[in-house]
Amino acid sequence: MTQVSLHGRVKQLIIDRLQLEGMKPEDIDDAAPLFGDGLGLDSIDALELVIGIEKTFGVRIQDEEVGAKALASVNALVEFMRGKGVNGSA
Amino acid sequence: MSTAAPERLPHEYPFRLVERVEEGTRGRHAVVLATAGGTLAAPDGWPVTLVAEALAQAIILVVRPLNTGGLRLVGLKNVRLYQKLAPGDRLEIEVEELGVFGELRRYSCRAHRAGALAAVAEVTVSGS
Repeated sequence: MTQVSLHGRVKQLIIDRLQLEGMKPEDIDDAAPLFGDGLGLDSIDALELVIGIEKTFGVRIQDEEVGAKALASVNALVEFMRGKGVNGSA
Repeated sequence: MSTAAPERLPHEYPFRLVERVEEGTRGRHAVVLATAGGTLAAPDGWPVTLVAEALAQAIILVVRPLNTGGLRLVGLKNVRLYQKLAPGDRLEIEVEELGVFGELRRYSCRAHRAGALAAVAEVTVSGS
């Protein structure tokens, strides 16, 4: 239950911060790459997500190396945030 | 103390839109918009695009006071113009770093003129 909720919140954050009009959380594959062939995001999108994640969840992605892993997919981002103590109701 | 912009900005006329940065009040930096050449003078004030570029140049001067490397404007967001601004105007600006990812940095900039909010922008720059 918690897992679904956090995935949903992460997807909604992606949609809201990147203004992906017409897209719903269920349209984003949990395991698909966010960059490149997946959702097609770029480095400026990554900065937008980094800012949004810190503002919404209080989690800082401190450098590019960590960010590359954390932002690989929705699953990776959820796992990263759980590692930082974020749960579904955060 | 004032610092002349030309030595610290990569821009040349007519793209150099900040003449100098001075110490401001209440923690703000005072920025004087460029007057050189006069061809960018506009009776109805600068368009928001020029103001946004001027704020971006001001941010470079404020966040890199020791000229420790170049920054390139790569994005603008939430740009708003609330007053007519023209060459020679003195703005007091507040700059806040919103986030960093790799070589990308985003700053929030709020510019005040004559005691009132004149323009705001979120500016994304790239540079090591």
